Amino acid sequence: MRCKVLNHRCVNRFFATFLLLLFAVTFLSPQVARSAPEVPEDAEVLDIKDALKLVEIMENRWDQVDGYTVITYKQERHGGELMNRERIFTKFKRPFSVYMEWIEDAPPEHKNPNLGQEMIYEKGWNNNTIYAHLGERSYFPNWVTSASSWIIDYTALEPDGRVATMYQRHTIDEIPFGETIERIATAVRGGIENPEDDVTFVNRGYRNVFGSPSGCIEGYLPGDKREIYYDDRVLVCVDLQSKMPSQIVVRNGEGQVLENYRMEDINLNPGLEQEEFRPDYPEYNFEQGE
Amino acid sequence: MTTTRIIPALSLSLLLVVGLMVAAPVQAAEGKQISYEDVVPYLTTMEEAVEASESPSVNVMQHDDSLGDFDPDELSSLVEYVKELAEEAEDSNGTTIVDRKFQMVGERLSVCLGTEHGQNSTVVSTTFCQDLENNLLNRVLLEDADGNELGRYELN
Repeated sequence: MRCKVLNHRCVNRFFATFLLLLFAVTFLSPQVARSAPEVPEDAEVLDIKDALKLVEIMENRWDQVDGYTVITYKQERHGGELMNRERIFTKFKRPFSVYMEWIEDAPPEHKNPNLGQEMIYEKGWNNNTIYAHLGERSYFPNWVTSASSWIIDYTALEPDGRVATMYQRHTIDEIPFGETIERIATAVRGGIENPEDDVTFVNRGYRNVFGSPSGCIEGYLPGDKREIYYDDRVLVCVDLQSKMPSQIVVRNGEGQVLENYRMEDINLNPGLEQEEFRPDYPEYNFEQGE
Repeated sequence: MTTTRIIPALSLSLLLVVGLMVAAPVQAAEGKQISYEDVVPYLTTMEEAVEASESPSVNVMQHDDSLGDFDPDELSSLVEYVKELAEEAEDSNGTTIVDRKFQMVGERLSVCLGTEHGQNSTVVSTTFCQDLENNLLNRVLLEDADGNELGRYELN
């Protein structure tokens, strides 16, 4: 029966019908593959073959890299909340040695939640476990941090175990630039090989990322094919000098930032020595932290 | 408030939201301006690249003698000219630096910027590109107020 007069009962009926429709659309419609997020109308699209050129330049440069140092500004979303920014100094040497130290962040409003933390991971050393010591934990009282050292052996953490992956969207295996480049390459080549996926790369142009002159592109990707495309939207900036990624921003389909990594002072082939990946290296603080 | 007032109020709010959503991209479509400070590392990289290179030859496709005092055949001279154009933006005297984004210069993927100058300048709009692979300045385009090309230089 149609409503001829706009009264209370009629409005109730309208909302009931609306809710029923919403339920039907949400739960009863067949599950279809998620397509890439809609590209803004004003966005300048980059030919995917040009995006491939960008990848090839990064790959060629990475092949000539024996090691590097970099400062990373890392911010990730966990449990729906964007966490405090962390500032991390990293050394990497092939075949796979990593040293990381959580260092002071310049602006006072950015509190490094793990300030002073250090870790070393080298494939084939320390039983393939992470050798670490905790720094300050801004989200735990100090006594909790200290007490945890009685229970957890921080000098032998499994790289993919619960402690090492807590509040992390990536494991330590994914640290090197080469891994990031490979992931970007997989997405670009995946878009070329699977035109039905409707992958688009937007030309985001120039950006100065902590002093690195960079060119940026942003992929609009079918986020449900994670093995190829990783997530719905991924911004990649490439440092003109080093040809390494200077910024990566990952967003979900709603545009929420899930990961934001910015690099500062990318220094390729600085001539790192193997002893720089041992806890007794004079510049490190593992002894005090244990 | 009665239901007869709620419905028009809701409709108006909805219209306003839709209007804002439609208007937002138009605003974003305007060219992105870049501060001189942000461009300095771009210029430095280009300068270092030309110093390290073995003076590649420049293809002068268009050159007007009324342009400034630079040698269009010399890449290092072109780099200096581009630096001077960009430096004009440092003093905020009506010159702005704008993002010309990724462009293909021949087969070379390049990151391009440009400058916009006052209407009474000889050169009103410029574009300059840096090869992503070797960091050399590989394209300079100079235009007057009517969009005529006064200068076009590209690396061979």
